[in-house]
Amino acid sequence: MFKGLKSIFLVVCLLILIGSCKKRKEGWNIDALIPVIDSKLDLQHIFEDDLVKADENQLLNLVYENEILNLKLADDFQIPDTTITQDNPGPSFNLVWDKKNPLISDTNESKFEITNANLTEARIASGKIKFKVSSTITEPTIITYNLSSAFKDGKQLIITKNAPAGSPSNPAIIEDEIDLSGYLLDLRGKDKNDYNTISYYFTVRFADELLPDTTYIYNQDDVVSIVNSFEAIQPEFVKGVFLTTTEKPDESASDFDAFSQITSGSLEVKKASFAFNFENYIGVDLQGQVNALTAINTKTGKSQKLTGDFLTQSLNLSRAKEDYSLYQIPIIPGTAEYKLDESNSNITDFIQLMPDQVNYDLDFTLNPLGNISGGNDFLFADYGIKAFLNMRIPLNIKANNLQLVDTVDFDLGEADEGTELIEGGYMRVHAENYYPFEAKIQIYTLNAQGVIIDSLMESNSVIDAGIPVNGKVVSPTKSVVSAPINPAKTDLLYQAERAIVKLTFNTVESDFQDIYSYYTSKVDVVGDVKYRLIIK
Amino acid sequence: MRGVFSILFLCSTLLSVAQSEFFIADFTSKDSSKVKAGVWVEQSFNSNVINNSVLFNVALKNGPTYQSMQNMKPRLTNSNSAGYIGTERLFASFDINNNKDSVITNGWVSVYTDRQVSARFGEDALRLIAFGNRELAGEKAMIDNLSLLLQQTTHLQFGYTIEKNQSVLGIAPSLVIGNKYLNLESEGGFLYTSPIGDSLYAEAAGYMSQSDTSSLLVFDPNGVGAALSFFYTVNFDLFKKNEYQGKLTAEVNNLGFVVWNKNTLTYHIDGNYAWGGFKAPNLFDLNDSIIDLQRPNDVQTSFIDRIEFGTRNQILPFTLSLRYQEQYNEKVFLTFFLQQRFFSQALPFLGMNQEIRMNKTEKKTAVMLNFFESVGGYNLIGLGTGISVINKQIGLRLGTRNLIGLTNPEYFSGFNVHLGFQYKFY
Repeated sequence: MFKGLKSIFLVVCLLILIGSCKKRKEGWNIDALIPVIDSKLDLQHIFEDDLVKADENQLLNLVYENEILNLKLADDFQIPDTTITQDNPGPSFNLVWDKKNPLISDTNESKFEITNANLTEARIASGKIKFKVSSTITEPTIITYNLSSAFKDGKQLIITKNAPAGSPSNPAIIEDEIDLSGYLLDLRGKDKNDYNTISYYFTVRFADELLPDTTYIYNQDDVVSIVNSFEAIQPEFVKGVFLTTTEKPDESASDFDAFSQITSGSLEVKKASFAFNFENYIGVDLQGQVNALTAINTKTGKSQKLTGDFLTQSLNLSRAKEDYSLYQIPIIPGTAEYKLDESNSNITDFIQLMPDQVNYDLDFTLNPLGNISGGNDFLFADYGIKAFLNMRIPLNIKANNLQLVDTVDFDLGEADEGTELIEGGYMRVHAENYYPFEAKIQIYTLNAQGVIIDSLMESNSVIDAGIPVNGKVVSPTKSVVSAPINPAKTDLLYQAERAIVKLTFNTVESDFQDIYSYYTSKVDVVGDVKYRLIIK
Repeated sequence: MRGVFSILFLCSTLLSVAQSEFFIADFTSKDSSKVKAGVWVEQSFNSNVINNSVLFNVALKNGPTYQSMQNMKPRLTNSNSAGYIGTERLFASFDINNNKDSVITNGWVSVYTDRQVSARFGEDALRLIAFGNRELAGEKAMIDNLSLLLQQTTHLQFGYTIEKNQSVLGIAPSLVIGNKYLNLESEGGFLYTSPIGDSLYAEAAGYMSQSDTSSLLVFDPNGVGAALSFFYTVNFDLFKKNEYQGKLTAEVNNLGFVVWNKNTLTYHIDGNYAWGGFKAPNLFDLNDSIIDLQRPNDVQTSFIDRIEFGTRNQILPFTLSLRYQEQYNEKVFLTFFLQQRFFSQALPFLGMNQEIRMNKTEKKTAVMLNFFESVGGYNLIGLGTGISVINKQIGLRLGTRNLIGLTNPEYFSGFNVHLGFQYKFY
């Protein structure tokens, strides 16, 4: 929101709204000068917060920091939905089984089909295991499922269920669903020397070792089947070896709102600098390539490709480090910065387009040198690769009909008795302006249907520019702009529900003008009105 | 013939007028009537600067025009004045002792209201109120030479005259009921407007007293007092060549006081105030809360040092007059008078009246055309006219002392209208 323009509008409305001028017979008109507002107008406050800052030489700079990329690669290291089925039939002959012993006791492994990485560890953010056991054992049994790869708070995932007696024609079915969130999966398999592999342990015991008998005739009709389904597993963190891959962001455009308030006109700058800052929150080495960076002004339809050394270089980003002593994010990112300015790029052309969108074409190669971390590559799901475009433009500029526009809402409410006694005149805005550019002001009011119903300021209301001497304005230029007050205009003001505030800047000198931090525009608003004086 | 003329003269004098006063000396009567009863109404306004158009429109709440106000500018001086006097009187006079020895006595009773507005103001004060502070930008508009008195009293007057050897002494004490009172006195102050109007600074010192503000009716009693009027008339002959004798009268009217009651409010003013608009370190910081915090709601308290309730003693504005009257010839009656009103803003007032009989002296009913000329008071020159109709039974007078102000109210000041009626009982 362009709070500067909104405030200008509030000022003028405050002044003009008092001109609710119902003609009174008694009393007489006097010409009154009434101070209304004593304030200042600073460029730092016209733009969004902190967009304009002073450097060590008191020169103002337009400073803009925009995150143009936040690439998360967690989707590339997903644990896919996997179903593991294991059937455990009895022997092909009748085996007299002592019921004191587990009927089935089996350790198994299963490998996830994970592309792009050989994971040894995964902390699960969300997901579940669906667990289904069918048993044709004709006596009740106790089934224990131990996912020995899964730990939570130091405890393994163990499920114990009672299965009723079944039969080949009517097996006993047990189903369950376990939430895996918060679990740490050890994906090294049972021998701790594999990857992407889980191991689990499965036992079937008789529920009653004595009844109906102490033994059980175990044969091929006795089948216990177990189906494990891993569904919607979303890791929070993975570790292992990330294979060398090239990633390209899905999105290729980013909003660039440094010039969002400027609707038309041109801005020439002499100097500008861009700094591309990369932050790598992934525990892998990265090699980036900026194939293209294009500025687009969607209002004018124009675009400008950025050219410069930067675009032909390989950008190397070191891997991030884990540090669990850090309070919020246990990651120390790897960073890199690459700078462009007017000497090594066409950055000024890029800026002078006043883009509202930046299109980019970037590639990142993970582990370009292969596995050099000894299996300690890692990734947190919420963190990936960030790129920032930090722009600094010293305000050494030429402006040609550079127009800033904003729309504000307002509600004047009801006119009070005192304001009804003002029957005409003007609100005068006395400005003492240091800035070396003139500013034309106009405010349009809109009704509920969004139709413009009035303009508040006199036409060609211009605050004159300060005159620089040897590049600096040392004495302000005084000027006055006026908003007329009359009954008709005041009635329209009360009908309005929104307003469009327009400021148009023009530098008056032919050279580029420095803008210093001490520059300001002192504003005194004075009511120069015809007031109906009534003595009761 | 002389006697007839004298009777007519004496009949008419009861309705003689000076600046705007009713001379109690005119109660002296030497005709054969036993009782005279009558009414007198007079309204007067004058000023050296406020023209009649402004006066009428303000009084009628029509709002004076911009041009009417501008017309006052060429007449502004460093010290200006304006005054209004209004009176409505019922009276009855009667013989007490007549034709006995050489002493003639009579008395009268009179009830009347006395309304006065008397103002003094400097050039800047009027310019501020009439035209606004815009034309005074960059200057201090001084408001130190400012005085305003508004007062209405009701009088119950009893009078007694005694004539001996053609000299007359009269005395008339009054009971005074104070109705309305407002007195404003400035002891210094100014309003400064900066050249572009971005700041105002005011200082003020003085006081303002006002009778009971909760009193709503015009004739509410808000004070009580007493006054004394007296006169002495002797024979004096200015125009020796005619056959008539003139009379010289010295008179004091309404020398007295009113004690306004304990509900009288007095503001003691001593303070200053500065206003430079709603202040914000940056225009974009201006919002409703800043405006609400800085609203100038304390202007009045900044100027008022203290407020008192309590009685207030006020000396009544009184007049001192010296009047000469003589029947110049059978048709013309002349009056010259010099009058000063004290405790008001009026200058000394010099007036001349000519009463000219228009019909034959043989007629029982005299029709007189009156002419008035004056200098001073609240303005410079006054010219007026009127008509009187008098016979043995009835006396009627109607006129104005200021025709000039009525001929061109846009430029001239001064308004006077008087109406008198009298009936005699034999």
